Amino acid sequence: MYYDEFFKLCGYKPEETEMEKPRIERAFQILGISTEDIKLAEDRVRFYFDIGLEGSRKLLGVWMKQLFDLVLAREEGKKIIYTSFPSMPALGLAAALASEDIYCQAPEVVLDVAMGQILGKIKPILEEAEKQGLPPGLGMCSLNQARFGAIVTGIIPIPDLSVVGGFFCDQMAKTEDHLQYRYGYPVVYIDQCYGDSPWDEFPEITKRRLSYFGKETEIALEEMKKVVGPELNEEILTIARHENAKLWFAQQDIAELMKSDPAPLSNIDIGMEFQMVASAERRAVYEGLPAMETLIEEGKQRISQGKEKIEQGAPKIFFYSHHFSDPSIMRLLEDVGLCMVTGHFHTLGTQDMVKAQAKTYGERRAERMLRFGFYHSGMGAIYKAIDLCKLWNVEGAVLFYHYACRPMNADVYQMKKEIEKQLGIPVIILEGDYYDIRSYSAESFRTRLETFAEILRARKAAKGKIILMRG
Amino acid sequence: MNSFNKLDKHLRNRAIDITKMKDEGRKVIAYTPGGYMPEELVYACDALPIPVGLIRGGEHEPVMTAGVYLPRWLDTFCRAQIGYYMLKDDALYQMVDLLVTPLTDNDIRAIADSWDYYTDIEVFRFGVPHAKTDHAFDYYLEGLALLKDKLERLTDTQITDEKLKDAIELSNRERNLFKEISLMRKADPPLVTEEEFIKLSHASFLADKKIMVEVLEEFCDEIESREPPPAKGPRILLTGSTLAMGDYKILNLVRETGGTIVIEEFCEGIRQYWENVEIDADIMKSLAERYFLRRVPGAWARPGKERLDFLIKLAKDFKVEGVTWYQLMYRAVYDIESFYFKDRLKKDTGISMLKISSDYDPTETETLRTRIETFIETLKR
Amino acid sequence: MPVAGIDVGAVSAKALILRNDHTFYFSIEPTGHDVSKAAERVAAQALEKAGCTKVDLEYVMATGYGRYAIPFANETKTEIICHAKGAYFLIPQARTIIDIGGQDSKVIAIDRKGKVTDFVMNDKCAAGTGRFLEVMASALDLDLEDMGHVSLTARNPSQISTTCTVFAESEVVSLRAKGETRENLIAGLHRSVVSRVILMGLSASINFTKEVVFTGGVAKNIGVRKSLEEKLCMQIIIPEEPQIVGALGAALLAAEVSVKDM
Repeated sequence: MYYDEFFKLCGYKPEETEMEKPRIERAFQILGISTEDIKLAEDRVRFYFDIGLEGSRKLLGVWMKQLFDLVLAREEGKKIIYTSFPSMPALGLAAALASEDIYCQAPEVVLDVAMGQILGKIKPILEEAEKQGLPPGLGMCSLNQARFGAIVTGIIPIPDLSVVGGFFCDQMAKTEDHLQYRYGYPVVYIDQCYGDSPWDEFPEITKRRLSYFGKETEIALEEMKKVVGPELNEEILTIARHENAKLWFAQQDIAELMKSDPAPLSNIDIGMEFQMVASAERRAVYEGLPAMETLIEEGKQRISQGKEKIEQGAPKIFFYSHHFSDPSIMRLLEDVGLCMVTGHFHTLGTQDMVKAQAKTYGERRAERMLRFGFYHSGMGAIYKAIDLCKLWNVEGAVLFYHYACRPMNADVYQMKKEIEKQLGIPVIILEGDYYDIRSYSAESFRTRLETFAEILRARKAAKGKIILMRG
Repeated sequence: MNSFNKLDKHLRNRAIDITKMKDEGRKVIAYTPGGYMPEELVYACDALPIPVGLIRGGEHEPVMTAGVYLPRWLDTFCRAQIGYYMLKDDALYQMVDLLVTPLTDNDIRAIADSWDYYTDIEVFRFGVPHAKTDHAFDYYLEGLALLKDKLERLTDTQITDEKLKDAIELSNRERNLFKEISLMRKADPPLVTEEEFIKLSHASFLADKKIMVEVLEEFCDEIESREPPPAKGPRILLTGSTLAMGDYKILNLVRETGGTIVIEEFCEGIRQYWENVEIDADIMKSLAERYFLRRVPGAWARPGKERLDFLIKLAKDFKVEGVTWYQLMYRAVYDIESFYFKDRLKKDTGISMLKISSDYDPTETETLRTRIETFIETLKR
Repeated sequence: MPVAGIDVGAVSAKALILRNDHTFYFSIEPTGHDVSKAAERVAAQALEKAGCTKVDLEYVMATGYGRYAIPFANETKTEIICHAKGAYFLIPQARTIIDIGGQDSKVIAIDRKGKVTDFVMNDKCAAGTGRFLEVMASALDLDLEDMGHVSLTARNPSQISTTCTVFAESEVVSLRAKGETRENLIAGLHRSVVSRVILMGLSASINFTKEVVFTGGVAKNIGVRKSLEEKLCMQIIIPEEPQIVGALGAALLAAEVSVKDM
C-alpha cells in the first residue's frame, strides 16, 4: 500500500500495518489524507525526525495510533472524555486506563503533533477555526483553534464529557462556551484563582488555594465517574499516578542525556515524548514508555560512541517550550548550534520533587499543579525558570513564548529581567506561536537565534573553553 | 442644570480635596474595575477608594508607554494602567497607597503583576472564582475577610459592623438612584441621555458619596420637571468590558451618527449598581452575597451564559433596536463570545449587532465612524 | 592579504575591503531585486577603490538580510554581531548601538570588550525603520536626504499618533491638508521613529548605557539624531560613515579568521 513505507518509518512492523489497514484507511478518509500527503509526510519524517533510532520511530508510531484512536473513537464505540491541555496530572490518564471502552485525551495535542508535526496538515484545521469562531488578528490561541476547528469540521467526535481545565487560561474555557452554544454536550470546568498569592509567596502554597482547586478537581472526577463507571476507583487513580510518575522520570532520564557534549538526541524527538507525557493516555503507558526506554538506551549508546546529534560545544540553554505543531523551529535551534537542555514544561524543578503534603486526592493533584510554578502565578513561573536554569547549569535562556497566551504575556518581560538579575546569563525573548507556524516562522527567528548562539559561544571562549571554529 | 453644576464644582476641587485628605493621613485605595471589591469596606475604614482606570482610559500615550512593561497581546485598558502610572502626569495615580485587585482573568492579573513588579505601590490581590458554587462563595468570602484585615492594618482602624452598615446604606442609596435613573431610559424617547448618565456614573467613582447621592436626587427631581431630551434615532445597547473615564469616542460617534444609547453594560457600570446589598446578621456574608453571587459577572465566567442571558433580557426590556459590542483589543474572553453572541442575539430577539474594536488609537475614529454610521442606517425605521 | 565584509540589506548593499596596511575602502549600492548581483556589484566597486581583485581576497564574510545569497562568501555572521564589531572598533567606549536600517531596526548592548550581551530587533514592522521615513518623504514631496535639515527648523513637532506606516501616511497627508507645516510634521515623524526604537530596547530590558552609538542609513538624518538625543537625554555618537558599520564589522571578523588560519 502507498502508506507502507510511511508506517515503517513510524516503527510499524509490516504485519502491524496490514492488521491496522481498515483503521488507517478509515482515519485517512475522515482526515482527508491523500496519497500525495503521505508522500510528503514520508519526506517530512525523514527530514525532521531521527528515524535511525528505534525509539523515535516507535514514538512516531504512538502518535499515529493516537491520531486514529481520536478520530475513530466514536465509530469504535468508545465513551469519550476530552480533557483540555494542560490538564490535571494523571486524572485523564486514570479515566483512560480504567477501561478499554474509554477514550480520554486532550484532542488538540494529538492534532498538533500528529497532523501538525508529522503530517504537516494542521493548517486547514486552524483556518476552519478562524472562519467559524476564532478569527485571526485577535491573538486567539492556536491550541484552541486546533481543538475548535477539528470539532466544527467533524473530523473528531463530539465527546460525552468535556473536562475543561480553566485553571490558568481563560481562552480554553471560553472556546468551550462557543462549542456549548453549538453542541451542548456535558461539560465540567476545573477552576482556580490563578495568581491569587502575594508576589513573593511562591514556593509557599496557601491552604485556601489548595482547598478550592482540590475541590474543583474532585468535582470533575465525580463527573468523569458518571461517564466511566465504577472502574474509575481508588485503585486506578493510584495506578495512574504511578504510571504518570514513571513517564515523567523516563522523561528526566532522556533530558539528562542532553547534558552530554555533544548531545546525542534532537529536541524534535524529545519534543515528541514530552508532548506524549504531558498529555498521557493508554498508548503513552503501554507503548510510549517502552519507546522512551529504548530511546534512553540508544542515547546512552551514542554517548559512549561519541556520536553527536547536536554539534560539540553547542551552548546549553533553557528554551521555554518545545514547539507543538512544527519541528522546524526546534531544527533551527540545533542548526544554529544551540542545545536545549531544559525547558519549562518537560524538566522537573526543585518544587516538583517536594513530597505532596495535601491529604485528599483533589488537593494532592492541585498541589502538584501549584508546585509546578507556571500554574501557580506569574512569580511561580519566574521562580521555576530560574530554578531550572540553575539546576541544569545553562549558559543562556531563550524565552520563546506563545504570543497568544495571556498568562505568559503578563510576566515574560519580568522573567527576562529576573533571570538576568539573579543569574547573570544572557536572555532573549522570542515572541512566537507554540501551535501555529504561519506568522512566526523558523526563518523569522534565524537571525536572532544565530546571534544568540554567537553571544554564548563568545562567552564560552572568553571563559577559556575550547570550541571549534564554525565553518 | 443645577445638579450638574454642583457635581462639576465638586469634581473640580476633588483632586485638591483628596490631596488634603491624604495629608491628614487618610489612605487612597486604588482598585481594578469589575465590581468585585466592595467599596463599603474601604469607606468603613475611612479610606478613599479610587478606581484605577476610571480616572483615565481611552488614550493612546499610556498604551504606548506600557509597551516597555507589557507585551502588546493583552487587553488595551489593562495595559494602559501601568502606562498611566509611569507617565506620572496623573496626581491621583501617584497618590495610591494600596492597589486592590480582585483577580478575574489574566488581563486584570497583568495589572496586578505589572504594578507589583515595576512600582513601589503595594498590591493586594484576592481571587474571584469563575463559577458561583458554594465553595466558590466561601473562597470569595475568605478573600473579603483577608481584604478587611489588610485595610484595617493599613489604616489602623477597626472596620466595625456599625461602620459597614452605614457605608452599605449609603452605597445602596446611591445604587438605587442609579438604577432608577437607568430605568428612566426605558422610555421612548429616554428621559436621560447617555452622556448625562455616563457622566454621573463615572463621577460617582471619584466624588464624595454623600454629595453624589444629593446630586443624583436633585437630578431625579430635575428630570421630572423638564422636557424629555428630543427623540433621536435607533435605540442602542452598548456592551463591553470596560468603558473608562476618558474613553468617550464611541459614545460620541453613536450620537453623531444619529443613534441613541439607552443602556450600557460594562463592568464599572451596570454590573456595579444593578443590585443592592441586603444586610443580614453576618455583614461580610451579605457583602459577599451581593458582590459575588447576586450580580452579573464579566465574560470570564465559566460558563459565560449568565451574562449573555442578562444582555438578552436587557435588550428586550429596554426595547433596543441594535446592540453595539465594544471590544478592546486582545480581551479574549469577550472577543470569543462576540462571535456567537451575535448569532444568538439574532435568533432569540431578531436584534442586529455591530462589533467594533479599539486599541485606544485616535486614528481609529474615522474607520469606526464608518462602521457605526452604516449600522445606524440599517436600523433606522 | 586583503579581506572583505559584505553587508546586503533589504534596501542597500555595502562592501568593505580591509587591506593589509589597515586602510579600508568601501562602496554602497542599492540592493534592488537581485541580492547576489548586488553583492557582486558592490564588491567589485569596493575592490576597484582598494586597488585589488577578487582573487586577492583572503576571506569574505557576509552579513545582512541577504547573507545566504552571496555565493563568493566564505562565511556568514548575523548583522547584529557585525554591527557590534564595527561600532566597537570605531568607538571602543560604545556600550549601546542603535541601528536603524532600511527595513529593520536593532538595539544592541555590548560590554567593555565589545562582546554582544543583549539585543533586540524589529524586522517585522516598517514603523521605526528607514522605510517609514522613505514613505513619509514621498508623501511630503521631499527628498529623503533633506528630511533631517528641514526638520531642524520645526517650532512645534506634530504628534503623529499612529504606529502603522500605512496609516501614518494618511495621517500625515491629512494633517498637511489642515495646514500643518512640513517641518513640524517631519520632526513629529522623527520622534515617532525614535520612540518606537527606544520602546523596543526598553521592553527587552536593554538600558541605553553610554556611549550610545547610532549606525545605519538613518543615522545620516540629523533630525532623527537630534530626536534620539532629546529622548535619551544624552549625546550620541555617530560614525563618519554610519551605513558601513556592518560591513566593517564583517571585514574585521574576516580578518580574525584569516589570521587564525595562518
